[in-house]
Amino acid sequence: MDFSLTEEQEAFRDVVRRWVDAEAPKDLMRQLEADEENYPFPLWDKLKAQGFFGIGIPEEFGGLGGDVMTQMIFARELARTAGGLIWTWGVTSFAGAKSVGLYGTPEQKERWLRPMAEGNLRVAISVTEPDGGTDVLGAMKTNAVKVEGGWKVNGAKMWTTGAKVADRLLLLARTDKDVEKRHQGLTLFFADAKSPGITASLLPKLGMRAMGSCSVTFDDVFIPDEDVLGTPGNAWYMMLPTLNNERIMVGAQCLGAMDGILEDALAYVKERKAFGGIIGRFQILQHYIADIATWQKTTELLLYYVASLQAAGKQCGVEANMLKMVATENAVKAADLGIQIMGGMGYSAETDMQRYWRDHRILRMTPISNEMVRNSIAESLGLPRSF
Amino acid sequence: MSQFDLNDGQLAIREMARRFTANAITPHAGGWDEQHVFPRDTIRAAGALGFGGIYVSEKAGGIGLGRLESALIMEALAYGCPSTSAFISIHNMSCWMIDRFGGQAVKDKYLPMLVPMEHVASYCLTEAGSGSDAAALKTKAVSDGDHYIVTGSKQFISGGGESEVYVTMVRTGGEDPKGISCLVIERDLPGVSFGAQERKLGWHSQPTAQVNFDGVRVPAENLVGAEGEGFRIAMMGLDGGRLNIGACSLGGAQRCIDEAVQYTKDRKQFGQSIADFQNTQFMLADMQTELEAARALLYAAAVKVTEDAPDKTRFAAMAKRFATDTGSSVVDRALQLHGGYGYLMDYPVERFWRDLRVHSILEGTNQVMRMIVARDMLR
Repeated sequence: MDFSLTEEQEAFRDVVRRWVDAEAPKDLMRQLEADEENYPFPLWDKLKAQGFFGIGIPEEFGGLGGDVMTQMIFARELARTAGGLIWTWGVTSFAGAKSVGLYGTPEQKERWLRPMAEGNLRVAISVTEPDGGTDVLGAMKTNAVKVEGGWKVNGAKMWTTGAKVADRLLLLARTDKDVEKRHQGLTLFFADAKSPGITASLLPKLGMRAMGSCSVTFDDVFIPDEDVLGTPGNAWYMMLPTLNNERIMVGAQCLGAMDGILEDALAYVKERKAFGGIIGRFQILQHYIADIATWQKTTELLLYYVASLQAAGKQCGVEANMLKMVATENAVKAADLGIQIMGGMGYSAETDMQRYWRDHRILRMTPISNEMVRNSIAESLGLPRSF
Repeated sequence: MSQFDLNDGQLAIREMARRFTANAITPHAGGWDEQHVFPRDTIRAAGALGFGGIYVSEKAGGIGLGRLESALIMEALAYGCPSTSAFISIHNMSCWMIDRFGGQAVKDKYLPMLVPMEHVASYCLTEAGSGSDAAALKTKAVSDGDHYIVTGSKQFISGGGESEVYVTMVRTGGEDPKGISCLVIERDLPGVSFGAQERKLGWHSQPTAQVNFDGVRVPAENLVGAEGEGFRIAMMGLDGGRLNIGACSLGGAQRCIDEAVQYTKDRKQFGQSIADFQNTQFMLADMQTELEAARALLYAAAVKVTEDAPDKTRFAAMAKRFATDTGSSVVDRALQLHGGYGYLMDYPVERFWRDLRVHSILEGTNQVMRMIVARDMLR
């Protein structure tokens, strides 16, 4: 039983950590996040210059290779300063590249993975619809009809992060209504985001502001056959194996945030003076710090455990869900306590604690709500479906 | 009617505040937050109802009510906008200090404009180096004939730059709390200046800025209470301020419960309203139960402050701590019940989530509240 990183993984972590401190410091991340109107291109450009978009993409397509452990290490280190802005990297290089890598034909991989690895192709994900995030299938109304040489898509999507600046949309649509089960008849497209008929509008939100989440409408959008990923009608079954990795990424992001939170809280109590000395001498503040450090360590152990199962190709669906729940709840609790430790300064938009708090609040609801996670954990223990 | 029911007068003032909120605050509060608008006209309209001098004596133009009535008003206003309600609370606290402890000259000079909220007042205690340890403040006032000369800076001042009047705690004597006095300082006096508007997580409908005093000459008649009484007066003001802030959390949290009830009834997943799920029902039940408990404690504390009960400070501290923490926890659950939509600015819950967070920090952090309660228990 050993959850420590290998020497090679530690060396990679150190490289990323140094890079993050030099190129993606908290001050810059805070400034970028606050700008609702503009995508964080400065971060994109820096990640691109360093070649980080190649993480997890096979070397034969111009990537750096690496597995889920590599991605986990990278996401954690970047999230320490970037918080929710890690999805500047993650949407394209983690989620997008994973789908193309798993289901793409050799031609599609050559066509898309290479520019993605180089940071020349930006992806956004259009899966969830206005009527349902948790009950995605029940709410799915976007449909694609077969036409000469491709498909014609109509419908609406929610929560498409970065839609306005994306080159490609990873789009889920119903291509067959006449199916026995509702998870049949779905198809995944890797659509040109600039296709006529696609309109994106910004959804101003509580956190991860600069990421530009959008509602997107599709009005008779033509998508050529060569932009279909995998077998038409089969998309739901294709997406399921990627869910564990997604949970691991969320866990890594939350852990990275807790690294940043602990760092800032500790620095503050060592420096801030009240009642004749540093406030770090007060027992209650020491206990708050101890709680944050314990949440951080608990999350780290569960994350490493799940990631090691996933890397070894073992079943870990339930554990990945548990990780997702624990990590997101711990991160928000830690940031909340961090604000309290910093008092008025924690509420100020000039410090990062409020950003950690806002950014990670959404992760208790996405990519799956923690209530739905509890439903499925209970179901895995042999209890009847409760929803 | 049980002894815990509100009386007719209290019900009437609450009804008036609720109606005002529904008409003048709720429809606009989202826009104020987004555009960082300080709604002076709405505040003035609240002043016309007497809400600028809720516990200022009738002799001085106020409506002379008690702290429970004040809590009811604050709770009702916060149902629309906690940030605006809290600003009105701070203004009331400042006016009360002038009315209760000021000489006739300072009352006559400021209260006629302040009570109707034609002018508004800020409360200046916190400094960059002294938040929880407020008695360590450094802003100095040196006596010079019939004036004081004030030099120093105040941090995180609600209304900073916009308020016409600053009720300011200054050091006139030694380094202990007894060296602190309370002075009313006008915005337009030479030497008064303001820092840039603070960028903050919430409370966007009220400006917050540093207030700087550079050799400001303040007439000695602007002293509130005697020299050396400033800290005690400031703390007495805070007893009421704490109740009001707690009440702002109650109102904000009740709004979010009501929003969550509506949303979970309307929202369908898996072929049924999410209100049909047991988890949703239990969450809602806990939210309302915990909020009622906080409300009961806060109302009881308010009556104690009105009646100047010996344990009023302990109760005000307990009520502030419990109401603000409970309020934030309730709003957090309301946000969860809204799912992803709760994260959007198109729905009101995220604004309350941000706004209420600071209530656990200001008017004395909830850690300071626990210090006050424990000190009183252990003495």
